[in-house]
Amino acid sequence: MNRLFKKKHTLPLSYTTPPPAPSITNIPEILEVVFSYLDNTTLRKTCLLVCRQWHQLTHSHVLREVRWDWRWKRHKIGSALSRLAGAHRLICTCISVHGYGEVDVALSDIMRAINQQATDYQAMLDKQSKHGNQQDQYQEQQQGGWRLWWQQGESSLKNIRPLREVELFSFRQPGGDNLTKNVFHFPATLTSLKFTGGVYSGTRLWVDQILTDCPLLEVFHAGSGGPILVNGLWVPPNYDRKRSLRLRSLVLQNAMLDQAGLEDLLSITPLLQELKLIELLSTTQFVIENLTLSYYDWNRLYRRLKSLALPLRALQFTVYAGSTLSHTQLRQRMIELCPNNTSEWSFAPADISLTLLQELSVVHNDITTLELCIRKVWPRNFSACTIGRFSEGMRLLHRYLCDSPNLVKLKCISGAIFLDELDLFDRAKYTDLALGLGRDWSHRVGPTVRSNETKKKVWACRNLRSLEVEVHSHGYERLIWPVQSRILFGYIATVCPELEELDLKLSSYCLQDGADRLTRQTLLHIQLEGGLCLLSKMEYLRTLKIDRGSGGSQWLAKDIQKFDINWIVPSEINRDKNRTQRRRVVEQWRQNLEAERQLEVNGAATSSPHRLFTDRQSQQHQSNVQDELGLGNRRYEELKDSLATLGLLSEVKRVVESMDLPEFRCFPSLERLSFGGAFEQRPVDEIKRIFPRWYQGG
Amino acid sequence: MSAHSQILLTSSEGTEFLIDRDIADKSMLLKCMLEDIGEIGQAVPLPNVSGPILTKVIEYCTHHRDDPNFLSANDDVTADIDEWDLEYCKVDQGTLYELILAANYLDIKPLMDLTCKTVANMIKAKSPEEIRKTFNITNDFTPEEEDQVRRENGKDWVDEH
Repeated sequence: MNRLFKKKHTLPLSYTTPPPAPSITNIPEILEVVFSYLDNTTLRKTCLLVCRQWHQLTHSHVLREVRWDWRWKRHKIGSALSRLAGAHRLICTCISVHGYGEVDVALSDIMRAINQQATDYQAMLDKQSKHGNQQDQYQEQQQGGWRLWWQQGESSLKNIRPLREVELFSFRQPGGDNLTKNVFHFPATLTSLKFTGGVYSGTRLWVDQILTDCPLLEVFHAGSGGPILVNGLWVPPNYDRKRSLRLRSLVLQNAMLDQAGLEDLLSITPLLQELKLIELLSTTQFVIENLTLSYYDWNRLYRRLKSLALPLRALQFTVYAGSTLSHTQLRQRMIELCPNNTSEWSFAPADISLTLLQELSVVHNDITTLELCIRKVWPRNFSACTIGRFSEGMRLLHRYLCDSPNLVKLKCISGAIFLDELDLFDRAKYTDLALGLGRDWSHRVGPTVRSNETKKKVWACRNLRSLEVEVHSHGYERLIWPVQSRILFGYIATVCPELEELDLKLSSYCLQDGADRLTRQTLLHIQLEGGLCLLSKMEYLRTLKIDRGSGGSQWLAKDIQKFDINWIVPSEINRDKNRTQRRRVVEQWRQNLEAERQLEVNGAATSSPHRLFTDRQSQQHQSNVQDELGLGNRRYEELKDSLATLGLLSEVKRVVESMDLPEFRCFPSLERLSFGGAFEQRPVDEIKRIFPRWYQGG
Repeated sequence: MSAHSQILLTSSEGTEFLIDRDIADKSMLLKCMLEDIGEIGQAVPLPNVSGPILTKVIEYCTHHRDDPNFLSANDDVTADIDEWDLEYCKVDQGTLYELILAANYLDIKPLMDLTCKTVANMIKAKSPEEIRKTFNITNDFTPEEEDQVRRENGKDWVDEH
């Protein structure tokens, strides 16, 4: 936040009549503060267009990012990179199915563009310095020079910005196996560099080179599914140790590294707030070559961090092969090393225990951000369930979310939830409604009477803004039916109406009931019947990512019809053809709806809230239901009407039919959409990606 | 210096306001001034703040006098404005602007943040034309310039291929 004018702490000498208050919109310093409260889209799409003064003030603050995803339009990487000149951030992903070759070619193009942008930016700075100081420029503007500059349209200069952030997803680090060290250099303007996602196995990092190239670097993250080797020194040779690095966040995952080198680096990073060493590797025997075994001594690192007294707010330290310390001991020391932190916590799932959650609830009840760093499965086993051994911790986490009304500002949680926790009325058993009442429903899971221990509760974090979570269903109804998707979408839309970012992942495989090793595939239903439209009422949702499980995105176009999702695009929702198709689908639900209605009337769902709440038979009866579900509180009072229909096809029917009404508001704030792993993009582009011939009369 | 002492302030029109020292300390200007030169036993003139606005400022500081998180109250740009503050800011635009200027002059950061956040909320979800109308701003772009800015920024710049 820019603070304004310097205050003079002197006593004014005399009273004067104040001049009439000028309009706020004429005072740049105040406008700057006002703009600091606006999101990037508002600045870019409206403030820039109001008048010249607003344009001048906001132009340099608007963040622009260039994204390119191999799965979008791989042959158009050139046009994407041509826009790099005005960008603040570059995010690229390259999932290659044809080997390293094409990855390296793409990377060469990207690095060339990055370096060209850096050269152009430097040239612009040189040119500016030649053309006089800021005072001259100001005078020039006062004399109408600004208009002249505008009209001259020196677009090649005015749009060049220093590139600040680069994120490469599924690329090999330059300097990797087939690329010699020092071939590529990142620009000196970078403040953030991330190698995320499926970094290729055996990728090597040369940290000293990166820090030499990018002295302003504040964020450096590397790692994901494949192991990484950190080669060479950490501190650049000949580095003047009297100067500190600006590094604030260092995250390495699945990395084999030299602990002494890291500790050396820490001595020149006095601003470091986040240090996450997740699943460090001791050996590279699974990779390309065997290097000397690395050993990690947590006690030594602890002593080092203690002596350096860094302003840490988040700390992680886990070793793939296990640690000599218990998780509890590790956690206690991590908390000890982050004394300043009260609002943001990061843990490994194994850390989640009853004691920890009590501690978080009682001692640190102002938590705004909770992150769980889940270990990526490596060596990779595609049929493994990533959350299997952490199930108990995840269930405790659910309880924490339900029991912490103070957690109103919870911002992000990267963990897992279980469908049965969300299935408040045990409707997940309404799987194959098409079989009607003729089927035997009695054997389906779901207790008819709940004990105190199994009472279901609703999350208390109603103001959640960002939710990134995996959904599992261990030993419960198999997560492949539309009803389960309806429960998931309906729960989130109702309980977390303030969400701005939603990232739902379905693990491709879930553990089978009673079996530790056997897994089964899962699938989220994107079809109309799956109730994606239940999310459409979320007023503030800007980004929606759905990774639908074992079906993957590549098969999405085969599984769904255009009308299943094209209503997301405002111009499509009211097209007669789409309306007709939606009506036809709803018409086909008649039998299922009747079966569902009968099941509700017969009380197949635990405590039949729908029947009770809709028929409103008696206040007493309602309160009994709430008590039975453990929901008898103000929180539930606010939600009961909306939650009463959780999971019901009839509710989806109501929403689909309301799409025909002129007042229907569908995802009013949605800017980014992604089905199945690719980067999120404009909703219309994401739907075009799935149905490429959509706008060609398809 | 007593923590319970009182300070006399004088608005631009010469109206005097007697307030508790802890209320005055919410203003960094007054706090530093009083710490630097001590209580001088005479009214502190505030020539840039009118009486009605000073009344509003004192009302704000009094309401938040026991707030332990006063200085960081509005730091979170995404946080909602609390109910009392929301009601407090339901004033006409002229008053709101004067409150911003007073908060800036008196260096009361939470009030500055609150009032600026309120103005920001007046901008959100409006078109450029609506913003111009709300704040009485003249559109001084030429049609060509406006078109150029719109072309460069109006579209979804990120994903434009």
